[in-house]
Amino acid sequence: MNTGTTTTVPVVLRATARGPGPRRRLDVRPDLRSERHRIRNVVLLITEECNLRCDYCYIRKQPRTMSEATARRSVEFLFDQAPPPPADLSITFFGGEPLLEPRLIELVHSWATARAASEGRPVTFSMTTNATLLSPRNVEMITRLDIATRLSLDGVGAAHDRHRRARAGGGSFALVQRHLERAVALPSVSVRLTVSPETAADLPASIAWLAERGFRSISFSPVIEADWTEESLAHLYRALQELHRFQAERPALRITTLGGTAQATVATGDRWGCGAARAPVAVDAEGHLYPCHRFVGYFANGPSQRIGHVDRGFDVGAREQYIAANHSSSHLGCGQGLFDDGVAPEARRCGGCSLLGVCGSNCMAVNEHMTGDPTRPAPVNRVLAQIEAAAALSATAGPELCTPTSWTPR
Amino acid sequence: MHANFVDAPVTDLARTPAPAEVGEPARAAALLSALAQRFGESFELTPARLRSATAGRAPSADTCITCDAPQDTCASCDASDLTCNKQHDIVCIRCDEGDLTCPRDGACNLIGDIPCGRGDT
Repeated sequence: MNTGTTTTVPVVLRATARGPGPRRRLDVRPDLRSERHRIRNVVLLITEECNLRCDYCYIRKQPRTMSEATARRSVEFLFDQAPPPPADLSITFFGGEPLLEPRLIELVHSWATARAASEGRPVTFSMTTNATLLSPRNVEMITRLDIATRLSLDGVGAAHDRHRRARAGGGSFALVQRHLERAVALPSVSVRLTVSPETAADLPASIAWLAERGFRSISFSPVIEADWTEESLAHLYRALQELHRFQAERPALRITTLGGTAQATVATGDRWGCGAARAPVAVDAEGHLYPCHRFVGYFANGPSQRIGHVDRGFDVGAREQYIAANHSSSHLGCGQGLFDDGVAPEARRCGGCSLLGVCGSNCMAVNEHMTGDPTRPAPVNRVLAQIEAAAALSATAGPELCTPTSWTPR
Repeated sequence: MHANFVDAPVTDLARTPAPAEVGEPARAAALLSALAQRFGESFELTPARLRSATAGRAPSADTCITCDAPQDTCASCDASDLTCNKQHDIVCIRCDEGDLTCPRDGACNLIGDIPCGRGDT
């Protein structure tokens, strides 16, 4: 029911990024000898340079490119640390913009496929790119090497250009648009849209535009560190409701972010989080190991978040604690969860919250970036989770619960 | 020992000040209240409403090897990435399953702005 109320509360949920704070001793003690905790993927920041300067990007751009020696050692490190064959492995090319270094991509691919063949196990490849460098030559390479590709876009036209700027300052949508016809034919291609307070209202139109151009796997993610206001959050809520209806009418399209949301809202109980430091690890351009690529970016290659180096192996203690921190029982909770467990408020942790399944509390990198503690989510997680859950429930419970949307592109 | 972790007795934790600003939860609560006023019942969530709205959605018999939760339950990651989201996008671009969800071996647990590259298609 839409009450029609237009109360404006002058509140901004402002991101307040902090450096690392004091850590707690965690109760979870992962057994690093277990195959469960052996890595299966490395995310290679083969360059930390980019031809764009998206203002929300968590990667601090710098002219550092991974040397061939470090790249090769990273491949060997993955295979050496992985579970024994036939367990399959994967390598992700990340950056910066990985297509600035196509030769390194070819080399890593050749080393990894040779090692995998010698061990009799599969290895697969993926890449996240800003889609501005999808020249015919690069598209041929990606197709030939069968690299699953995720295009990082924000939307159409002005929605894309709002934050995704070229180094010279202009928007980058025109650069992307000329490649999209080729991009849609890439192997296992998907699109990920980053949603900011300024572009939330544009999300349905942007996804519709991409779907019309043939993209079949689309996801989106809010900039959790942004300054979300009541107005921008309301735009996001309406956009999600609109997208649930849009998705329901197009079974061939997969707006993956929407899938399972309604079911997820009752998913309480302790669990492992995203797997950072456990199955995947990130390698920066100099070979330092981090729990994930976001740690590399948020902490600007800071030593406090490192968990080893490809030349020297894991810092076992550091890795163990990040793995432990990635279990929901270690998470302190935002203090505003939806609990129905009879547990005293001061003892409530994320595992007992009904929004756990849709909340980002398990992103240790964002947590540490915003609160100084990888186990302490920021309250903005709670707000975004409720918006997502409420939009999903109102969409799936029937039209009587849907708020009529008056969304129009800005 | 990792330089940033404090190997302190658990009982000391209560004296460890939370790094988050005291005002943040209050701001979040104010925003949620304002949104609830604007959108009414459809925006309000309680554990009971959540259970009611999702009743009858039987979870799959398969469980996630990573967390032992029912597969349909841990498919929550599709709601992710975070942004992972939350990363609102903790989802593999090939199998469309999130970090907690891979029914094969639990190794598909990558934050969603990268594809896991597994050949699930």
